Amino acid sequence: MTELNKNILFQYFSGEASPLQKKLIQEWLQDDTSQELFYKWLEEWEKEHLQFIPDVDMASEKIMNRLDKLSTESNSSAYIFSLKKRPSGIRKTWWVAASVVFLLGLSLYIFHNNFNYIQYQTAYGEVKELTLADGSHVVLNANSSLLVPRWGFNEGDRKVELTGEADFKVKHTKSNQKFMVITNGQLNVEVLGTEFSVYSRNNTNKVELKKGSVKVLFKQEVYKPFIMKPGDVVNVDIAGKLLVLHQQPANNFIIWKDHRFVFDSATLGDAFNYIQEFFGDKIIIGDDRLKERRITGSIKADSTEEALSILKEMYNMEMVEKGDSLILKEKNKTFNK
Amino acid sequence: MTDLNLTGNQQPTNTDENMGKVFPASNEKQDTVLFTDDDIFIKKIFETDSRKAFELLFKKYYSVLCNHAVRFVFSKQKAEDLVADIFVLFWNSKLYLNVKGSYRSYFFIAVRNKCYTYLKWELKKELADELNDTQIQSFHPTPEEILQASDLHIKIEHTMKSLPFRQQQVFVMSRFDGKKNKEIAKTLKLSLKTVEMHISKTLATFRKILKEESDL
Repeated sequence: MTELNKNILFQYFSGEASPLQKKLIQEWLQDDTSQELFYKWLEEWEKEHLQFIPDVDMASEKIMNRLDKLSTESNSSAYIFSLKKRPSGIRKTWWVAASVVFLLGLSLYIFHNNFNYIQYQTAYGEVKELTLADGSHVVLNANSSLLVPRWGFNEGDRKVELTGEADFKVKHTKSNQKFMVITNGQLNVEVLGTEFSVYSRNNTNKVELKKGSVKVLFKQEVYKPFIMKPGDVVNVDIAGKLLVLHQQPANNFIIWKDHRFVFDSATLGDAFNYIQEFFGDKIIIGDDRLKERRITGSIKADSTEEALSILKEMYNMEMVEKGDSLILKEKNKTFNK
Repeated sequence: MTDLNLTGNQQPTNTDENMGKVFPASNEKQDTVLFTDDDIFIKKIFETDSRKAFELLFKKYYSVLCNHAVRFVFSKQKAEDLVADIFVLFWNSKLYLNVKGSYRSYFFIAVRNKCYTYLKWELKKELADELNDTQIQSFHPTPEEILQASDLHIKIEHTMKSLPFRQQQVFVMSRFDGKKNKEIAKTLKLSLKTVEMHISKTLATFRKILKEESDL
């Protein structure tokens, strides 16, 4: 009887059952056990007749974020860190020698009100990896948001909008479509296929080129076009001043990758700003001189506490909690020799 | 916990531990029916780490539920949204404490209910508020109601198949893929008006059919 019903049910789900068979099913469904069986076979039938394949991992991350947001009010120590480790293994090189051009004045793109874009958002301390419709790979760093066209890229330019920080590995398309990263700041990046990082937060705008050869154009016309080489870093600061650093090693200034903060001759002030942005905890340095001290090295840290406890030791500082901020100051110089 | 896996040909006994199991007449290996092994496993995890258990459930059923939902609501995006909403409600109202039967049947019933309500709203344009407040109780649909839900998606599928080719194509691009009318017109090299006509014709057909089929 059981075996017979499964085939009948499959026929029914496919719309091929006779009225008599439907009646049979209805009678059979009187029983709780049969009802469970009904859904079991429904699941089986659905799996054999899939109509589309949703991105479960992405949906899962999205919903876990939603749950977290819905729960307790924000309290820095209660943040649930969901840190994703970058897959180990050789980084594929999707670079094709191409010129990259920064666009002028594109920051007024009206992405926000257009529901044709999906927003990917990371929480403090969270890193998300995305693969876009064209195969380009994005690692969205903490406390950042990326707007991506909902239905994939069409012909024409591939545009995404970034607030925060992300690494891009852009795939070259056959039709030579430009890939554009729009930010609200001073820089936009236009590429055909290359590897680079964009950092755009609170008036700080940086682009780091890992692979490729780029030609840079700036929003401010006073800056002439500039050709970047791998290892170059372009930085436009708050005052709109352009700074170009040549031949920086790939892991420059401050980044967080694979659970480590990497600093390269960065000031403590900048380092703390970065950590603050990343984990969302408020850190105040109570000593201006301390802010200017430079630090080079890498520390393993998955939380503000971890990062600070290491830095505290390294730079002989002490930490005081005041409200929801952490204040750092230099220890009294009683132990110095 | 008793081992609920049945293999081979077993004769039912009357002990308590065999209550509620289904004993097949054939020789084949049969799964248990009332609870899957995963259900027991996940239920245990809910006791210690509800978030983890939730995530497991989500990953296990999300895809198949979306596929079922899309048979009712046409749009991939809408299907995903509806399923996600159900899971969120499941979590927020701690409904996982009240699940009788398997998680699978729970979610399928919830999805079908939600889709039904959504379709009602779509076709009648009733207030969206009603939709958000829909509580999925630990209900128990009657055999008639179970079939009614299935009949609905079967009817939808049948209607889709009987549409003229162009109409079907346009409608799928519009609702399933979520493409804008302009995009469709461009891709299929039709005029915008033609695209709009195809869509409104299809919607009218569905409205008519679904009205007849149930109380929508």
